[in-house]
Amino acid sequence: MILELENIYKNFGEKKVLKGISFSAESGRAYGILGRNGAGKTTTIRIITGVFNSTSGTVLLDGKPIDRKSIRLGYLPEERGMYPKEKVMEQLLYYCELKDMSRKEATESILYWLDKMSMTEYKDKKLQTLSKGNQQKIQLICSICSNPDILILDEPFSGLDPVNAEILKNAIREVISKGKIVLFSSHQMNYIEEFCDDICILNNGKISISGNIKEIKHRYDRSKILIRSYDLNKTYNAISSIKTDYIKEISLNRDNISVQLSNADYKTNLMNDISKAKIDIDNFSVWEPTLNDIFVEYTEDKKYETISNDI
Amino acid sequence: MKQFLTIFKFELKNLVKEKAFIAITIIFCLAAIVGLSIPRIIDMFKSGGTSEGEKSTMIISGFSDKTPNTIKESFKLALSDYDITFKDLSEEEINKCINDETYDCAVLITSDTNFKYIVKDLSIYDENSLIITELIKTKYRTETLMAMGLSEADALIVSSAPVECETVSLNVNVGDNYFSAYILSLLIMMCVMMYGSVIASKVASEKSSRAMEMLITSASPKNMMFAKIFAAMTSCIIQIALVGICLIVGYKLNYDYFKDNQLVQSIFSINISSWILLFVFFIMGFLIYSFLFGALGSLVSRTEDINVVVTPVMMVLMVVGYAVIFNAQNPTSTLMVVLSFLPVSSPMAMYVRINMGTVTNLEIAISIVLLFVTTILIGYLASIIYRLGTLLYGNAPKFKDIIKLLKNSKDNI
Repeated sequence: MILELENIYKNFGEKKVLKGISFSAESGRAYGILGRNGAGKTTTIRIITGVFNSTSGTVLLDGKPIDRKSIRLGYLPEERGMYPKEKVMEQLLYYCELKDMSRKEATESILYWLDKMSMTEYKDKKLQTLSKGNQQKIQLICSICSNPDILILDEPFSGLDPVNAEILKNAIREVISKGKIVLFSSHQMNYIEEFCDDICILNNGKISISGNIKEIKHRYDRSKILIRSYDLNKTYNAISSIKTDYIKEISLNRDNISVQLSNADYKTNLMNDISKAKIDIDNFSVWEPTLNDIFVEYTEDKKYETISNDI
Repeated sequence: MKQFLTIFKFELKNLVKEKAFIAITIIFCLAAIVGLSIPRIIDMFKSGGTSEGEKSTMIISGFSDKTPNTIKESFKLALSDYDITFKDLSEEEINKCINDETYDCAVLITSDTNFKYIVKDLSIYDENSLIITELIKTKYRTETLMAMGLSEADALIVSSAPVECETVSLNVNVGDNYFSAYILSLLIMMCVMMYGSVIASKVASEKSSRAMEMLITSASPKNMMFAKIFAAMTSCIIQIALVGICLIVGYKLNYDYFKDNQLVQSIFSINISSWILLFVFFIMGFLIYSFLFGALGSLVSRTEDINVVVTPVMMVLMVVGYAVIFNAQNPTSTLMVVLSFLPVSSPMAMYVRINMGTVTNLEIAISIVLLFVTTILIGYLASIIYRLGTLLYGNAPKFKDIIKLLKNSKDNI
């Protein structure tokens, strides 16, 4: 399945919240929707889930306008909450039945996920008696137990300890491996990098950059080299003594030495020169921006030209 | 429809298993049975203490020698709960007797038409002075007629001749139906107020707990609102039905004590067509207000803010409710006629008018149609407000904000 958003605009009265959002996400891959607070992520998600209608533009599934009645949508909202006074099992069954699941099918699925998340012992407890982390796990179960075709996760890892985060990661990996479309929204870039192949970054209702993460990173200038060694000072002095005209700048950092080349093509020359000079190094790599660097760059209060998928 | 039923079942189950619902139902059911058994309970206590020694005692002082014995007998007959002693004592002596509890009460006849009723602690239910007044009147008339030459028997016949009155109402007997109309219109108002608040707080708590965030992607807001309101209405009907069953049981068990009680009889002798009309007005009255409460509940994000938004509707309900109740004795007044067509008050006012006055079938039909159309319109409007309100977080909106929201509703959903 391919979920496509085509030129989505959304106005609330005079306020233009989305200004031409387009991206596509496919089955078996996680797609990251990034952006600062108020960038339009939740509105985009709500248009996908059908809570809002778009002012213009269309949401397509496999090339046809999405029919939300014929598919199942799972949504984990950023603002967590279910019925605090209801028993876990009862309310999970309620949410599943709302999504047109039979009670038998729902019970099986819920018990499977409760077991998977080590939560079976809490099934007859009231939600409010559970810890915050466990409530969050129940909420994630709620969004995936209806076996959704499209799963939307908004900040799924916030407030979780590393052990619970790992359990959640495994669950999400399982959903992705089952060939579902997973949309992922988070400010924790490490999780996005871990799960998502493709991303889009929203800024002021527009997509400022979108595409495959590796490709986006690869598009950055690759003329900066990072070198690591046991004795950084000695290595720094040794590299500084190499007489070449392609090294523009060398700087000694806390963990590495960065070498700015005049052109990315000279990295082989540098490697050869280091080898010839018999400089002892442990690691030689081309500097790539982290997703965090890209996020900050594309969401700063600057006016960016919208960069389309071809990046 | 399946989704509506799923939400309806979930909401109904939650409502009826709530401690407040169970407690209120049990209290009302017990009150119904115990309340209707009060005469039996009182009677049990009375019959337990009917031995002569435990009868209250009364001393009557001041009868003249010419008072015929038949008058004394009539005192004994009329005050059969008392052990009566006829003895001439001074007021001081009587007061002493009452104070030291030799007698429970005393009657001191000071002249032909004057007497003092003396009791240590006067109960609010003590009707002896009224009974004695009638007896003294008969005594005076009998003695006067005897002085004028009539025989004791004739004098007694004239002075105590019973007067019988038969009231014939060619239309509805307002007096008989007033109590039932009053009680049932009050019931409509109380149910709407009680359950209206429940609906508003349920919606607001769904928002404050953020359960709404999950629900809006799983269910349509229309289904959510209507199922919730119908569940509340059903739980209200269940509650009324249970209390009603207890009332019927209490009435049947204690029928002998109420067969001559017009007030109670007026409730239990309501005919089926009146019950059907009550049901119709109840359903629509409940819905029209519940739609408003549901929509208003969706506008706030904290349960503490509910009072701010529901107060105007609550005020309207109370003003029209009390206007109907206070004007129920006068069902043909212009105010009642107007109220019986106004959809916010017609469920109560028209029901009162039907029970207590002359209302044509056409008037009833017009009132029901107006109410039905308004209920549908308000339901539609409420579903839009609910749809917009469920995603509205922040401070409770003002009236102008709601209007603005509705104006831009197409943009906002």
